[in-house]
Amino acid sequence: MNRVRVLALCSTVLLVAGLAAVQAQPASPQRGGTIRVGITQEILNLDPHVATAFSSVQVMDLIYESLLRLNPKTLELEPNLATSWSVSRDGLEYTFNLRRDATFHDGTSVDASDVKYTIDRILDPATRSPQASFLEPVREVTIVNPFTVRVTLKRPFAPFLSLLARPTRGIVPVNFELKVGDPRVKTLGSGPFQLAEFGPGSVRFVRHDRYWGRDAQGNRLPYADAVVYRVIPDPATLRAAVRAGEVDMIIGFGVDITAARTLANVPELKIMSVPDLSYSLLGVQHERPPLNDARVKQALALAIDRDQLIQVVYSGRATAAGPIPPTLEEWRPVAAARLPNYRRDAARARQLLAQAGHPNGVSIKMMPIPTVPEVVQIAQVLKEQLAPAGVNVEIEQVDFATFLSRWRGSQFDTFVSLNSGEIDPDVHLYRHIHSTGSTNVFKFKDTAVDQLLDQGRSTPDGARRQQIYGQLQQQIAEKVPFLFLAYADLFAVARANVNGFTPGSTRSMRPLMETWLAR
Amino acid sequence: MMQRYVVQRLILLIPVLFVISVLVFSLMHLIPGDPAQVILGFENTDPLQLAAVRRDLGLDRPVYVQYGRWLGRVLSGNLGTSVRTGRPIGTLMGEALPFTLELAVYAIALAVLIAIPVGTLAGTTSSRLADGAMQTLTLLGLSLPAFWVGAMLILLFSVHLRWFPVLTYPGLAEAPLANLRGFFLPALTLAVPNAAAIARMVRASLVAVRREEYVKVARAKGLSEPVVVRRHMLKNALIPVVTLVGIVAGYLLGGSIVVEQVFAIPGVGRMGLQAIVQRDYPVLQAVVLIVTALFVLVNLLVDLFYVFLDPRIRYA
Repeated sequence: MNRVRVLALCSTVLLVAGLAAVQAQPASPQRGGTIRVGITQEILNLDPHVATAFSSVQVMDLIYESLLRLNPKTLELEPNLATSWSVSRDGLEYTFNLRRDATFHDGTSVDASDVKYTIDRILDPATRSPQASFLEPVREVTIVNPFTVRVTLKRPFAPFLSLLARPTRGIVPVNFELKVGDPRVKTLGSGPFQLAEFGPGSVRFVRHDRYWGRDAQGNRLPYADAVVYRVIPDPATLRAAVRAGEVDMIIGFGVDITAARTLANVPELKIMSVPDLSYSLLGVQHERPPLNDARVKQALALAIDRDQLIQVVYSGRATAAGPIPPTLEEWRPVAAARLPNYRRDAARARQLLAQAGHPNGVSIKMMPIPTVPEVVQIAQVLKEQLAPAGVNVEIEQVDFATFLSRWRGSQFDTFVSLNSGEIDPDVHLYRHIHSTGSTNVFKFKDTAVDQLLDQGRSTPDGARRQQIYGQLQQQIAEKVPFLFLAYADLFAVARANVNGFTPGSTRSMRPLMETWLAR
Repeated sequence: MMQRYVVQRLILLIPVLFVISVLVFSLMHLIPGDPAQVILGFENTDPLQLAAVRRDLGLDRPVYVQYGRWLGRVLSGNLGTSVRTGRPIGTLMGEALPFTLELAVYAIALAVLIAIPVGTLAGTTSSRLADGAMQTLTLLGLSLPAFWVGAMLILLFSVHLRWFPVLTYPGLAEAPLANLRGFFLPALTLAVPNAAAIARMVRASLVAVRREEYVKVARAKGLSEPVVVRRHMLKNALIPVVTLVGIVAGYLLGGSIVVEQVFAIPGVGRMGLQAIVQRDYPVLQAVVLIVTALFVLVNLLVDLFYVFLDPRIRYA
């Protein structure tokens, strides 16, 4: 018996070893080739400081680079154009040392004056940069020497470094507009790829030959000669395109659990996934009756069942959302199951509605954002879940611009949408739920929450700051500024010969510079 | 006389374009949302910034002033730039129009190639079964939605059989054969319902002329049945068919939003759809102007074609 077991074990080991040998990719990355990426949304604007469309932001970090960057796997801040930095004791001065081998696509080197120009450009009202609100804490930027730059803040602002690690804070050269003309259609950055062609339905980038990046073996990055984005608006066609080999990989909106499931058994494809930092939410307008009553909001929270929602909409490939993403372990995210108002209790919800003077239930409208495919499904599931608790939902289907207009003007009872996630809890939460927050369209006002948020951003990183966000998570779950629903998994599907691509929680496409095609 | 008729029709185009542009302009301003909000997105709700962007785009002026400015620019031959992407609309149109034109011409050619034989067969056969089969088939062709037909054609011919590439649309001049192959599936998708409609029209017209005196005379002269059908029946039966083809062509030139979406063709239909979603007023105006003008011109051509088909028709 024992011998049989040993034999079986041996053969298993051999089999595994054999499989590993078969599966092992050619050891060294191959240079050259064009990576064709299929996406569903049009790329509209390439000005890093002005663009807001998801598809534009998604290509931005191929062209432009920020001072710091996020490690796509650990989500930690890493050096990028800045090789090192220091913070003064009072938390007001940030000094950055820049790398000396970074050049823009026109061959000029990236230096301190460019960094100053960039931050000034974002803050200049004439730029009309939607990013200006994020950099509001900056008082001034000083050039210390050609490769050292100092940023002085108006007040201590703990999340400051995380704000510099975004492609939309990408460094542009001094006199950017004069050099490129219209930055919406022409580019000049220092990223691994430069724009070659901005055609109808497709955008082509070619390798920046003097890019400073190297792989672990010291080889120059990026490996590929070019990257082409093809816009394929219909998700079914997008899936067909990767199956037929017309594109090498597909990613972004439309590449979801449905795509992953339909393509899972196609041998020449591989499916990659990573938990998203962005989350789906049910937004609530706090000044509109009946939602101006805390008990009604609590009833809403008690009526929904996130686990069921995740099963139905995401086939289980999502995590129930607390206020802080589970991927950000250092901020001690509280698991959804342990938060108040997170366990479904329809009877208690009905009771609360009765106490609030609605013994026969309430009727509310719900507006799903039309550009995110799964959101309409979420609204339908929520409608079903809310009904037994006495909340009658009418779904309002509107087009994108109408949604945006009504979102901006707080003209809704509730809406379902996707909020982009951030690695710092302050940036993740403040703008949505502080009474003065720049995107508090919910009209949520709570003194205790405001206080915690204000403390959170002025307290330097450490145990005290963690504690503040621990308290805040409880407060948010109790007071329901809006309902965090789920952090879904993001998917990318690639042909088998695509190597080295890692999808990131921030949806960054930077890993394309380490991607190579086996031939 | 004929020239005068054509000139008159062309002059009539001007008030049509004017009315349509006023209508679209006012409708776009009546629905919620504007390009300034779309440009700023979801990053903040700062009213000052919104006001500034609205001022940049001239959206702070009364609607009639905005219309007047736009009209002045268009009359001087400048379609303006897209407020969303900053690209000149002339360029955008120059990129999108060839896709749509080729698709429309290709689809009509396919539709006619399918419809005339099928319709003729159904309209002249004495077999009830054959006629019934055609009727059923064409009804099916009419009822199947384009998004489904397109998706099925892609799955079958591009993914499984690999007979046609998906989403490869090289220029007609550079690679004519590859181009015709690339556009075949989308053109076929567009052609199917139109072929069905035209075939039914051909059949109905043929049935109507079957008992006409001149057909009887032709038969009595001892002409063979195919000659009777081709020379005497079909030519007369084609007048309503040409009218229908003209209307279909007009619609197709406006770009088929569904087919352009399904086959990822960056044509005029998709451009118009994007412009509506993004509230890109000048782009939408340009699309509407061009599409309207094409529609009117195609219908003028159809009217002129009648003279060729039926010498009794005269324009004065």
